[in-house]
Amino acid sequence: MLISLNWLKDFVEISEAPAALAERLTMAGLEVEGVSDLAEGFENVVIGQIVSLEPHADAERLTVCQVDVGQDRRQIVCGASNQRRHDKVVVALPGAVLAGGGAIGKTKIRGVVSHGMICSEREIGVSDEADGVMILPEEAPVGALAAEYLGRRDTVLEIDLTPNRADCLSHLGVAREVVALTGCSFQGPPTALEEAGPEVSTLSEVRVHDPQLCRRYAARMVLDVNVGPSPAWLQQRLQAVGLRPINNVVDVTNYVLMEMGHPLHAFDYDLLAQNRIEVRRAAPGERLRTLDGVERDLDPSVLLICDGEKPVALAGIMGGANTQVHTATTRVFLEAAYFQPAAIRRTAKKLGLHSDSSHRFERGTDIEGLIEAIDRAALLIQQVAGGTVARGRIDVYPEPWPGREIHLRSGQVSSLLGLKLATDDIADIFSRLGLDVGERDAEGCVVHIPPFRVDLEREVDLIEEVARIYGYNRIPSTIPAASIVSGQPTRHQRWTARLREILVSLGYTETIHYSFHNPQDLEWLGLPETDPLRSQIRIRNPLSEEQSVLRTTLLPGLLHAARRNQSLSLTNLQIFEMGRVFEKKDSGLPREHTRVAGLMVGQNVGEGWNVSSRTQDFYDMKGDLEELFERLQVHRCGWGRSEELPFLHPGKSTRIACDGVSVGYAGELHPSVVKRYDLAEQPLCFELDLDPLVEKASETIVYTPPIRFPSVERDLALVLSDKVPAGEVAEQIRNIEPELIRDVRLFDLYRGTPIPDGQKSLAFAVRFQAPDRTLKNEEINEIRDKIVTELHRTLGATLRD
Amino acid sequence: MSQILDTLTRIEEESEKEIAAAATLSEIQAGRVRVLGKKGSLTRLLIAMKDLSSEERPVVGKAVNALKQRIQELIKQRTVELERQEQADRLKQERLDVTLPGRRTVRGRLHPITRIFHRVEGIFEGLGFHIAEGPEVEEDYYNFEALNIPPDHPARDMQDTFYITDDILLRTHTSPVQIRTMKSQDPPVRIIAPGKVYRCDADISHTPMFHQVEGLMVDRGITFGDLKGILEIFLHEMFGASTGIRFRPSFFPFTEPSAEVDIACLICGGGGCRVCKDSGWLEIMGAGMVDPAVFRMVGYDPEAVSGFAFGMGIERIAMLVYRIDDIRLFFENELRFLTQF
Repeated sequence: MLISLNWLKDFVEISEAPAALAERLTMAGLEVEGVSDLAEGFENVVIGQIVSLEPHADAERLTVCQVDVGQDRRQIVCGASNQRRHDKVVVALPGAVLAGGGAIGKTKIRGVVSHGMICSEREIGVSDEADGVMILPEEAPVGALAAEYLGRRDTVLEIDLTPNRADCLSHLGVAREVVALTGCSFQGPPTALEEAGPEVSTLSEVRVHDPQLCRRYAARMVLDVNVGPSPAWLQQRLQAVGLRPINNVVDVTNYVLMEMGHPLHAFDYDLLAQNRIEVRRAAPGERLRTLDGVERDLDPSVLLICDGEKPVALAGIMGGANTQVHTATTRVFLEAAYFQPAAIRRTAKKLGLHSDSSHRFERGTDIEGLIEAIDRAALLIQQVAGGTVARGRIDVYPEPWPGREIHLRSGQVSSLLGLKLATDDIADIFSRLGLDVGERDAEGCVVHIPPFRVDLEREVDLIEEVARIYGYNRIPSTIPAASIVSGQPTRHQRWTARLREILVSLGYTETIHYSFHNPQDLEWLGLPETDPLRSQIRIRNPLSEEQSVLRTTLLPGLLHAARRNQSLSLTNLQIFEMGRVFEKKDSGLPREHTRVAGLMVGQNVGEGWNVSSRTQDFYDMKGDLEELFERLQVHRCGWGRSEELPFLHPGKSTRIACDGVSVGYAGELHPSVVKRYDLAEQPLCFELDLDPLVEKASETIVYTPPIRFPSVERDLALVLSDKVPAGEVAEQIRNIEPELIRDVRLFDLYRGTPIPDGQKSLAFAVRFQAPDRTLKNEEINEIRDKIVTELHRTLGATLRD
Repeated sequence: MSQILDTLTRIEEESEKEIAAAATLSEIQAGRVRVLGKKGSLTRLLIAMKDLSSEERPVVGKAVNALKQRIQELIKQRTVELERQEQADRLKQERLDVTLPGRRTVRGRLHPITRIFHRVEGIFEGLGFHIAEGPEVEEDYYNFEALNIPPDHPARDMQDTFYITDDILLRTHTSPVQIRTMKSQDPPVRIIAPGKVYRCDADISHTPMFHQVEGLMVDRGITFGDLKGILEIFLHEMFGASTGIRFRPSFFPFTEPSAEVDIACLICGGGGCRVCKDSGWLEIMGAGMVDPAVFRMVGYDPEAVSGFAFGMGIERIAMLVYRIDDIRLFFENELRFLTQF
């Protein structure tokens, strides 16, 4: 909200500099986001009168004007075409730097010297009007500073109000706040009227059919008005707070809105059918064209202001085009009402129509103060548009405001704030805020809440007011007198942190992707529609289709990252993400699973003068996962085939199980998926479910003393069918004499001559060691023979010559 | 005997010369064999001693042994000298170009958001706070209603919400974790809740997903002064002990009184710059005393306990700590960005 300091000074005395006032308001919870001096850009800008003008000899669109600027006469070349001889205009002389940033100097335009510029409203920052130069009224004094004449000697504060402070959505409200903060005196705006002519009640009638939604409806009438442009002071004040002047009657309603915070509406009385008002809910299918020219479809949740026949306004939000005040209007029907905040908000939201009026009604207006507002408006209309104010008001107010009292316990102030204040000090703060303090004693006091403070409902609200005015920063900081506890992370939290560290140590860089995907991603992964991963949760109001479903897998995020980095020529990549995926449930909240996924593509290291690199393959990733499982102390991992995962290479991928529980997959990306994501190389990827892993992970480490007896390594090269997985062979070897075989390590894999087709040679280094003695050669040979015999029997393996 | 003694003198002189002249370890070795070896000159003398009389033998024996020791000593000295020499020569030869790059093990990096989370969590764990978690897809009840934000309340405008259904949404803040925690345990409560939150907003300074840390402390007799005390400890740990801090009145439906917490601008130190919009201050977190309405909602008695809550945006902190000027960088996952942390 914009607050003009000049306007504010109508009500309070301000001796501080604008910046100091801004700071004070900010520290009281009215955050001032900007302070602007309206005279900025008006140096060397004066009022001039066009003495003569003739077309530019060399440019069709330009005019050469001789302008009287007071002390002398200037030749100015002008691009606009709306100026006439004798017009008063705004002239920026050389040296001026306009609000829009344009610096004015003496120039030559197509060979003609120009000593300045004749300005449009936009060029001097008065409005957005850029069509033609600004023509001033005849009485504008030639040579005077434009800033003075245009009322720019003002400073405007931009305040970002929190939704609770409805009472500050006006100059009057901010002025009351200034009183509370500085203790200066306060003078409200004049509202005393001279009424004449007929009683309003003889001219019109108001019926409220839904007193729940409209608790009060007051009206006044001003007769014989002369609708036209507002006087300069009124226009300037509205412009200062960002409003566009329309006509004097409408301007007054806007003025009172900004001054007192109460929305008003002015109807053309003669356009109201049967000259009366009905306040009721809309009938199904009813429509209204609002002032902004939009035809609105209504339903019974919408409260309407109607005349004897038709809707004439959306209650509290916007008037209708059919009854608006126009130049021929002579009798004005003024409305000031109280509408239920939630209802206004629902309607405004439903219609997507947010106005200065709805903004205030939905936050709560002063149900008592609207009378002053309507009187103030009638008075001002009479001042600026002439006419007479009809006698009396209509005031439909079946249930007057009962008043509100809050009992405040002084002890509660100190126990909530940690600040000891005497009741008298507390009462003093309240009176500065304009709250009447009733009975009081050492224990506390009774506070009468004025109707404009809609935010003060409970004791705690008053305690906040005490803290606010006393000053948050004066309240001493303390350390809670609570029992000492240590904030230990849970097992799950420890492991997620560990897991991240492990992956980083293995070379993976952490990424974070949005939790929402493009539904197309799962198609790109080749997942059939029946796949459970395709059962995604849709966001009802996504920002775009690309971000419209919640992810069921982390893989697409990593693929997009690979793609993005590839486009930046970063093709060697090792990245991971840890985050949640969302499993749709038939009802209620989805199930959220934490997953960790990784992607690896390109070379293992950057090629260097002393380092040779190679393309990473399945076994690089598998090695990382093996290391990961070892560090988690998850020992019994199975690496099975995974033909059913359509996004992986069917022959180069695996399903991983720990203790028989499936925890995820790893493998090379399917070539079709690689193509769809437009990747240059085949990435490897894995994705693991965190919960089962963490469940199996062990933090317990039990030391085993190293065996003191020597170990002996023997090589064993076996030829067997290519179909037998090497893992199975190693497992069988180990099981033949688990007590004595310490380690089985594959060191060579060979296919080709002289090995027959369909067979392969696997060379293992088998390490033998007994815990209690040095093994003899004969013993080792015996076990070795046993291995050969056994593997021949079960797998048809033979020793390679 | 005198002949033998003469020979000893000669051997001594010769050996001294020879050892001193030896240029390599093998030359020394050869010299040692010549004198002390099985057929060495000194060994031969020892053998010849058997022909001496019993009076002469001890005298000569003593002289021979003394010489033997002396030669051994000389050899040892010279060996050390030569070894030192040899090493010095070798070291002169072995010269690396130390400006050539070293071999690096590939290591990844943690995301800056994770790094800040770890710092924040570490500080609060030290203050006795536990880490609590809650779902990212949340019920309207926990995200709004239980936090004293009824439907049709203007405070709902403060947060643009992604909806799944009428009453299921993506949480707009980590505050629902407060409610879930209080509903599941009795006071005292001391938690922080880090996590992802979502708002339907995307422009140069907003991303539709970001991260927050929520904090909650409830016990008997917790005051606004305690809130200030705890947050000052946190902010001084996080941003440095000399960082200026101020508390400003604000509004959150679930706290009363509510505060915005500012720190003196880290960039300009309070003088005013682009980052702090010339105010000298940076908004860093929201906080306040838990509203009695919230306590009632979770079944706590607001007359018996009090507490404070606070919340902060992690991207905001990361941007200040690392001087990052565009929030979107956190989610673009470019290696050139990520590998800087």
